[in-house]
Amino acid sequence: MLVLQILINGLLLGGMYILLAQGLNLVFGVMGVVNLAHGAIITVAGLFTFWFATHTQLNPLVLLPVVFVAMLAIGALLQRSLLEPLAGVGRKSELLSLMITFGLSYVLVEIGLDVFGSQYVSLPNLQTTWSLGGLTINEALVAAGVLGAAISGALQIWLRHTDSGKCLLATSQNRIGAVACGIDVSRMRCIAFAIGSSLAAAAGVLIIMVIPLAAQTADSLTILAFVVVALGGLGDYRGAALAAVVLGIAQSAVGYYGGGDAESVVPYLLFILFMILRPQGLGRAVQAQ
Amino acid sequence: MAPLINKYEKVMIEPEASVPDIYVPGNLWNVQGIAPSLGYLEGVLPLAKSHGAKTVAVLALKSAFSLACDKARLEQVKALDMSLVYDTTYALPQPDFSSLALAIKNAQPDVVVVCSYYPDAVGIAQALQRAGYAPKFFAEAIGPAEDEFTKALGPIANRIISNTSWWASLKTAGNAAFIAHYKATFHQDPDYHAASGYGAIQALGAALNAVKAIDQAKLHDWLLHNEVQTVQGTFANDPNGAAKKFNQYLFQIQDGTRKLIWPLADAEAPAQIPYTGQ
Repeated sequence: MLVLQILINGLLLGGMYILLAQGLNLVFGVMGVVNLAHGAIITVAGLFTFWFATHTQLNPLVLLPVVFVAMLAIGALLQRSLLEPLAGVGRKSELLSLMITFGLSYVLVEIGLDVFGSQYVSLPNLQTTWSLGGLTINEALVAAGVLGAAISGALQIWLRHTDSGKCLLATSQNRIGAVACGIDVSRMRCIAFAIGSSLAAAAGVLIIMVIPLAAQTADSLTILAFVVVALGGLGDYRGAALAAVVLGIAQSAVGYYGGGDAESVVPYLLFILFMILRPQGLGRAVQAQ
Repeated sequence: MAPLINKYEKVMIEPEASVPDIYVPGNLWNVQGIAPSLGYLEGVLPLAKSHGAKTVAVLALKSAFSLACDKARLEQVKALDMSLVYDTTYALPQPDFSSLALAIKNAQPDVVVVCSYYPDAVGIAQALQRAGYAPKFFAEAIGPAEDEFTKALGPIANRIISNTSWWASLKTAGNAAFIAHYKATFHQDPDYHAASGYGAIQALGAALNAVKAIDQAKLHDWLLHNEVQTVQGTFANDPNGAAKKFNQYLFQIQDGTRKLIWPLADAEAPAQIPYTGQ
């Protein structure tokens, strides 16, 4: 029973990690950009959700579609204004886009600090815990896990079974080939960043009900999301989902048997091991060019 | 800050620095203006034991403050002849406490003591609730005094115990006037952070009035050799600048309000037991 509980906790934690990571994965997969502002988007969306819920007394989940759609527009604007101009720069574009998203991260964090303050906040929604034959399962983590799984599933279906998704996938596999096929790669980059940002914002709406957030936690979320993406294979969505679950279970087990200090180290230790032993990650890596 | 003020030999009263390691011979210009962290939650274990509690779990963040509190509580477990059934520390960042909560649940302690700061206090309370475990006594060093704590946790904050070095009901020097002025100025109730800041200024004011100069050495010497009655109680320090006479108190969140529960002589209400986690 204990082992089963550890597994369930790990799966649910993995679900939360899928939620955190898939947006980052999409952006890297298509654009070859590690969006260092990813955690900041999650955090600001979460803080906004807290503000909204405490001022309107409405269920914060009503914000999910609103934030998703709003972030599509904002993400597209950010991509067009900040990252698209770098597309023609050549080999330096990867480093430059890393630096721009790094700067964007701190701009968003400062905005978050100015607007929402530096206090950690969380929402007491989704607090129900179900007991099933000695096992306990919590509503907030189930919601995060279900949404994470749904996002992964929806991404897979969209990328592999729709024309627009296939265009996006083609762009991530080979940009020149995509252009040769008549795909507007500039538009694909914009779509990828917009959707990646929206996924991050949707994650923020849910995460604020799972863990306390403050503007200054943005960096740690970016790092965690990046570790999941790297473990899964940069740009590999199925790999990232598998990596998230593996990481969740590993942390859950190590945390239980080894204590808090050991648990903190798990993501980074796994990251180092994978980069040495299996740099392509758990899944089949789709290399961005 | 300590290296700077000690380099330039400027007196600095520290109303929020409770870590005892600061007040050492190399940092003589730091003067502590708050109760030391060793005493945080010192009332929890005697209180719990008086209600029949036997087993204890202690969690601590790896920070100077938390580890000092942790060490003192672990020693107290031994001194009170209680049984330590789980003990761990953790480092930041720690976004998830579910595995630690599961380990605590499996150990089934009567008392859970958490030496950490506000965000972890929220996270650990959430994790325990998700694990489906409510210890008879649940105490967290920092966090429950903040309004955001009850907003973040809702009903699971109820009956959590925490620490304070000041309370509105205490008959300390100037307390009523301090509360009235604070409310009139900021339109909210003060907490112990505000009180320790105010108390620091009371002490500094007393020193300036006595010394009648801003000579740093004279002010420093006066502060270390005299006592000042403040809203926090008696401001008095040892030769290293560490506070030696501030009291520690316990409060509990009871149905959305905070009530002083320990020491019993100062209590506004009896402790509500057990913690239910909802």
